Amino acid sequence: MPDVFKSHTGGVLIVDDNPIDIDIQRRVMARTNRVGHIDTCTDSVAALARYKNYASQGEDAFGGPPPRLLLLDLNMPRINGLDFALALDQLDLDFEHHVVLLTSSKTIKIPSNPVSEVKQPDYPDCISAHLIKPMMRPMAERLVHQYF
Amino acid sequence: MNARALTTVQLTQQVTTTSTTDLAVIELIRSLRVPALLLDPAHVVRACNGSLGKMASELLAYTCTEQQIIGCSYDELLGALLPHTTEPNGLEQIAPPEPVTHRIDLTTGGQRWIESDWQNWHSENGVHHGYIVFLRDISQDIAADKLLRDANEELTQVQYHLSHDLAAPIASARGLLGLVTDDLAAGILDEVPEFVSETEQQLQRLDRLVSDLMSLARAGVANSTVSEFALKPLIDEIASQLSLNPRELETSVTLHDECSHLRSDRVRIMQILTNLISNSRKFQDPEEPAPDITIRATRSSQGVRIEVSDNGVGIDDTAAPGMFDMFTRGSSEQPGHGLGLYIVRKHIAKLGGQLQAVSLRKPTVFRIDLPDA
Repeated sequence: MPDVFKSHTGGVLIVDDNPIDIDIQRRVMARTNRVGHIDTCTDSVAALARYKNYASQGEDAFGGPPPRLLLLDLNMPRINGLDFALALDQLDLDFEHHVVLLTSSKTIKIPSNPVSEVKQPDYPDCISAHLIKPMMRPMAERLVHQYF
Repeated sequence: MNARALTTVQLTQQVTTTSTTDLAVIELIRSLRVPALLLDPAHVVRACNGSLGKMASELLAYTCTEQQIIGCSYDELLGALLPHTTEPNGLEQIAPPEPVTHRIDLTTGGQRWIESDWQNWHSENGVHHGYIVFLRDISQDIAADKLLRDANEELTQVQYHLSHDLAAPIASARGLLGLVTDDLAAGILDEVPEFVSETEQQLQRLDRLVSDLMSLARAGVANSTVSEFALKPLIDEIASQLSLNPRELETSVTLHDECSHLRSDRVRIMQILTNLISNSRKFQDPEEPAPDITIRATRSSQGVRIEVSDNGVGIDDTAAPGMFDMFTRGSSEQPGHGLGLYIVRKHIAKLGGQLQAVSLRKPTVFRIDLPDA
């Protein structure tokens, strides 16, 4: 496993290929003082592998309780956020988790097929919410209120 | 009605309105410059012209003269390639109202797109005498349509990625300023310099995107300015320019120059080599003591071959298939917008050359084959 996970203190996993955006989200979520662990990962493939490993290894895959909240960037190389969420849904995970997709724009367009646009009513059920970057304090407070 | 169909109608009117005898129709068919046939109701060729003979020869891959075609059955000669589309109408078969497009895979390789336009040939008293068939090679139009579709698709991709790549650093900068605002409100200043520094990095990211976009625009320019120039000074110029950037490490650029002078577009060659050398530096292997980039130029039978090799981390097998695509990044660990190799490929295509990654790692080798300009 590449050394792309940077463990902090539990409950949230942030997957984004932009280290700056990860840093912003991590700091803002931490400043709510209401989430435990915050794990981060810049590689979507490695992050998905952790969820897959959870099926065989249980909590060891995450080094502790699995994350309750997944903050997932849409536009990432290798596996985009939407495909990540759909793959996650296939795993039938046995713990409570919420996937929040973050984008730079107001609409979700699949990077490989930008002609098509995923409208809000058509979001897959596995996506709990779609938020527009940047992550700001009020947004973080709402997430914490809703999911913790 | 498009111009081509209009011409067909005009030709048909000319044939049917000005020619009252079979002989006159035959003469008119023979005088036409577009490939044309005159068929009897059983599809036997009554007349054709030289253009038809030339087209049939190409499609059938053997020589067919005008004289050889006359008397043949259209169905046996061309029916397999250009099936007729007449339809029953009582006792007669009538020609379809619209031209039909056929795609033909040539046995000699390649494809042709032929449009066949069947018109009924009636005598003055309304008796159905057969058909007048006009054929047109519309391969160039189809190719132009494909180019247009490809360009539209590319534009859509550009629009999407641009909107993301422009929006992303702005969003990051806003997020960082949000942290600064929170800290200032709380009177905590420890991390503010770090946030400001990261905001500056986001602006640099925008700056790089603008620079890449300007390169992309230059690569898309249709014209090339060809001149003869020495390769070595050009490499030196690139090395000098890249060394000016203090964030980049010192690189050993070795030139194996069996082809001291090139006749090509110097600006394009400079952009191509700059992008490849920059990539070599960007993806250097931390296990290696230093990046080592070698450029070899040799004369080939087709023109000039330039190979750029390095001892970097190489290209992952999974990333290799799309490495020349627009906005495709091999690694999220390095800054970039995924335009570098796409721009290289675009420049080389404009020069009529080819780009290949002939070795993905240890060494990573990109090979450029350029035709003689």
